[in-house]
Amino acid sequence: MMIERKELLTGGVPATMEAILNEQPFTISEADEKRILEELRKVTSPERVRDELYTRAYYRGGAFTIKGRTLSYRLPDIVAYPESSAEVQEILKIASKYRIPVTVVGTQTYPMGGRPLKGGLVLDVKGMKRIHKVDTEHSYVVVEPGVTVEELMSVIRPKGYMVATGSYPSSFSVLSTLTTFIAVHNMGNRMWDQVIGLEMVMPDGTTLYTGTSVDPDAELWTDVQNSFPGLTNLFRPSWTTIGVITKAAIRIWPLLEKTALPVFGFDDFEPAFRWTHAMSKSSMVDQTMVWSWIYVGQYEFARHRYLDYVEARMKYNQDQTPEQLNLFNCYAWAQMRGYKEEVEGAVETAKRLAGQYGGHYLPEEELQEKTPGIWQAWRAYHKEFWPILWGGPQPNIGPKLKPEPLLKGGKGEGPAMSSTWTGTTEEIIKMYNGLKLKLKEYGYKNWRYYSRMFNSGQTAWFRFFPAVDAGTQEEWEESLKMWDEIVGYVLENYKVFGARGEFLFEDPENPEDIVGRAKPIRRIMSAVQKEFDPEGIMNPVQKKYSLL
Amino acid sequence: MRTFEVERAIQSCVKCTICYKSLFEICPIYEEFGIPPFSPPGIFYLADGIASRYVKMSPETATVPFACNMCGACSKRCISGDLFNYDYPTELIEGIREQFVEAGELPEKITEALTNFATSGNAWRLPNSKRVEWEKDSRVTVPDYAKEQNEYLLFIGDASLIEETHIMPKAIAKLLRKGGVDFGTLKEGEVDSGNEARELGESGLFEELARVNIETFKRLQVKKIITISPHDYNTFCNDYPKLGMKFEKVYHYTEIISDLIKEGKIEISGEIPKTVTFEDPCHLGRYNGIYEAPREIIKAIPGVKFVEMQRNFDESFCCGGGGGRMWYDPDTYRKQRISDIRVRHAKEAGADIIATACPYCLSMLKGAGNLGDISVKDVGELAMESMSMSQ
Repeated sequence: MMIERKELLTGGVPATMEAILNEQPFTISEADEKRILEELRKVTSPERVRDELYTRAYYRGGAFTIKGRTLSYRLPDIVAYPESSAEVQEILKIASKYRIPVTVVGTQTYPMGGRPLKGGLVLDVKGMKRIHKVDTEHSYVVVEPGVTVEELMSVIRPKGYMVATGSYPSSFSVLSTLTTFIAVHNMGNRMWDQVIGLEMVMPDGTTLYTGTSVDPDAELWTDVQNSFPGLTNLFRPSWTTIGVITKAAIRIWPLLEKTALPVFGFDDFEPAFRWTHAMSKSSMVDQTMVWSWIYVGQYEFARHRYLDYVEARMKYNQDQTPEQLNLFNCYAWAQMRGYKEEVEGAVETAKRLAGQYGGHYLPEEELQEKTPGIWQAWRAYHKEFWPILWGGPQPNIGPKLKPEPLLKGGKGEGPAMSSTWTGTTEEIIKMYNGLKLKLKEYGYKNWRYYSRMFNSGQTAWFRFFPAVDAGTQEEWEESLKMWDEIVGYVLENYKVFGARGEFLFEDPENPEDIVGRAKPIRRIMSAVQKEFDPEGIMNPVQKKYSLL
Repeated sequence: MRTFEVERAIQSCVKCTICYKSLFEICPIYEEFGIPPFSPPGIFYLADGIASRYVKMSPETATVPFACNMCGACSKRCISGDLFNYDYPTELIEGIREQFVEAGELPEKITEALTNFATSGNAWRLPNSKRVEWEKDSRVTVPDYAKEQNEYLLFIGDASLIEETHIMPKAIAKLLRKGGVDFGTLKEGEVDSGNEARELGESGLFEELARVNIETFKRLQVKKIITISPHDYNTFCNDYPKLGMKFEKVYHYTEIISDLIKEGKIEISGEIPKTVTFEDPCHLGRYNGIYEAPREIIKAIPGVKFVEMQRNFDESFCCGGGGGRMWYDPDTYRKQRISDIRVRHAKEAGADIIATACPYCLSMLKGAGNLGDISVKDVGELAMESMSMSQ
């Protein structure tokens, strides 16, 4: 059962990513490594500083693929498992002394974080699990970064409170450690600004405090919010951080009351996509998450095939005709959760905006009657999956469903790959129209595709799922080739950042157009880094491409 | 599995952690070693590293896949697993082990166990005469199936080879005899069923062991088979039919004894005034859905107060002996022993006795370091004690 692979990096990969992968890895002599291991073990314990190959292999990559393959990052040289701020301080002092690159990881559920791009030391903070404070009077908790959302919820839910789990990464919001949570909640989606303050250990061992910790007497929300500028923006764990988060003060909220999932049908992708964009920019209250999903590609020869694990739960009936599925070419919906009045108001806003873009509101009964496939998807999300994500601690994610197998092979039942691009709304629309024509050039024989778009309010996502007819290894290889060509075409012709992850890095042709952080923030980060991390210990490669 | 399926299957793991980490213990090896490389994602990312040639197969890297207990707790929870039409991730782990076996890069103890299977028909390299030792002081005459062609074949399995589990065949034979069941054993003619060889990734050896057994079963026209070990039960039910051996019915002994009690053929009226909990063997419960029969036996014993551990039924927690771990203990830092965790669960439930229905579970739990006043017994043993008291 040997697995043969082609070279991972072929055409279509942005220049910055290639440059990152061509970086010289961190090197260290054997004697030094032995000394470093000894020193690290002295400040922690022998079982929490590891250098076995199988331990290092785990931290090579995460849920991050490029063209369907795990990107071949380097192995770290050492993995440490600190359990307190003091241990982090000591470890970072040693790392600084020997100039070892440091990469911080949580559960690595967040696709972009926690890759030791240059080798060096991985700091796995999952063992930092203490919940220091639960203050329901002032609605915040103080936790260590290894606490997962699920663990925190198990403590605060009985008190009638919740932590505002974000919309991304959707699937893991209950499982992510708080490091991921913090990263997510600074990304500019609607759940942002949940982090009130941080305790950070800088590479030289200095401890910095932001937010509430700066003013220990802060009691009111206004004090809390105004006690320090939003420095959390500077420290995103796992990726591009310049320090290690060792404690975080996070907002908590009374448990929410109502959910809604209005579905709309559109004649084409463009109006649906514009509706999604308008929705994300509308004045929804903070606690209503707005996601929109657009299903594209229901042409006369294309049928749905859900490849995401969530979609796989839907037990899609492949025997349905396109007519049965395709009352509309595109569907969009908004995922809402909040207090009763705000959800009802948000549904009305969604309907009004859909009217502006020619969308048709589809109540559940109509959805079930006219588009059973879409209704199944709606049910799976609204009745099965989201309640689990939103339901607080959920040790068992529910009864295991038995969907039809996806990997039968042959006759259009092959495995599938995905590619996600991000860019401005206008550019995504342009790209979609071009992609549509390109796919037709391929005759669409044995190709079906499902796309979705997620608009976080800042960036538009377009995810492309071409299901392929690969019943044999040769057909699989052929499909990969076709996919490479299409991905290459898209990246060459449109200003989008493609496959997952790379959009975090600066586009060399459009240095101003970085997705993620604004330039002033990058300047501040650069200054902070010069002060506290002159040796470039923390994520040295990412810093080069992302911070400066 | 075809190559591209394996590749995609490995890559379908998104390290969501739900298979090994939650508010309570899920993956035994994650709890045992305390670091995420010892978890299903750890095994997959290692395999991915090997496929990408970042990691070399070696006895050292084999530590992780061969540390797995194959308990299947991950498969019950994995969301990505919903994409595949096989038992994901457990079967995939088996496939990854196969790669190590093919490359010959195995931990020493695993090589030794597999060699023993091949040369002696059991993992301990014991002579076949050992298989009848338990009969010596059992005070039950056990017919030779080969001579008498009884209605049922009682397949003793590993319970006859591990001294501390001799009590299982002794008790079960006594109960069956008392219940009027016409059974016989293969005596010294038994060969390992091959379940562990298959789970260790040595599919060729499994087929060889199965072939020997199937030949015997066909020659003796075995139709109904009773197993003591859930591991044998599992492979007779799920693997042997694929190799052409279809029994009329495969029973785990708890099913038969439970029926005998219900039908009044065995009287177990002796009182055991103890609090008893039940450890669901993974290959009996999670793999084959037998949860109630052993519980019915325990609950039928007068005086017993039955309590459930927090982890039970399909969320049960392994004893630590599955997947070849009976013979292999990774040489690395260990946070805690799996059997100790399970004994702790039993203590939390307030149990005096942990009952189980698997020789591996019995052996592993008896070896726990924190037993204290708790005793570990086989379900059949408990029933026999009660029956003996009532006579």
